[in-house]
Amino acid sequence: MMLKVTGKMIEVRKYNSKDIRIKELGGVPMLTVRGDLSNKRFQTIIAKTCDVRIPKPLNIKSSKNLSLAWMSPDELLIFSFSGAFHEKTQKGLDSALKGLHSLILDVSGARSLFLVEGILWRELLAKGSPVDVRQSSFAKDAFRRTRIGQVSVAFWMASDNSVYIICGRSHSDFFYDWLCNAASDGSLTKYF
Amino acid sequence: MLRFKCPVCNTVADETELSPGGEAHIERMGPGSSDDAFYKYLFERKNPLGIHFERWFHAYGCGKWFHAARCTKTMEIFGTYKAQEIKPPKHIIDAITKKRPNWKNE
Repeated sequence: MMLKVTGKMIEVRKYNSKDIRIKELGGVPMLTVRGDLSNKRFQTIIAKTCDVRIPKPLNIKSSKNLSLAWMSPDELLIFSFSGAFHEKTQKGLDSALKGLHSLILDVSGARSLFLVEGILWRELLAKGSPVDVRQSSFAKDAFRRTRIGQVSVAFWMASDNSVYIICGRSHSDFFYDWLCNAASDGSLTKYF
Repeated sequence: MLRFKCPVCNTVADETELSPGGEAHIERMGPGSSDDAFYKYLFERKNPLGIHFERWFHAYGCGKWFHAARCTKTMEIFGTYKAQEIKPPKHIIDAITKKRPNWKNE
């Protein structure tokens, strides 16, 4: 299934169990920006063009329009839930970053986005991920790249009771099934 | 289960989030070296029961390589350090000798 990124968020599929609601969301534009995040000029350009400063390592920072996530010391993920600015941002960054060693790539079609809602979302993640997802170590604004099951993912909190997860597009069918299976009724502990 | 602190992104990464890269600090033998040295560089690896310096790749995380010192016998991890280091830094050596006073870095 190929999704055209229109900037308008759509629900691709959803699953409800007693405790958890899982949705796959489509149409969310994403950009990968690579470059030296510790470079002062790079930082200024990103802050100016995106209106959001580069987040601290392992963090995500959002404005009304877009979010910046720290992927690695030389990689940022920019995405937006309110679409339209997308091409403008890419073009703006493209020209502003000229002369700096950098790369900007539209990865909207390469990633899938999931929203997992329900107070037991920590239990669900803990089933498949080695990350410490206790409130004390994984809280608001934290952005973590890791694995869930066998799938390489990144997740961050959408609210106290929900979490966003992104994974590679080619893994999305498998990962969606994995999530639904892991969320099945009565299977979640109440550890956290 | 091994848990390494990635010195690049500072997360505590589980073994399953990493790819092993084998022995660390191998000196490359290129053109100009003897056949014997080149053969050793290609194929001969240490396989100690004890302290071992290794390379690990944070495959499911920040995607960077780093070095680790661990004991293959007890699975104890003495520390991790940047991939750019060409030999184990002093604090790693100190951490090892503190626990293994008789250990010698060959």
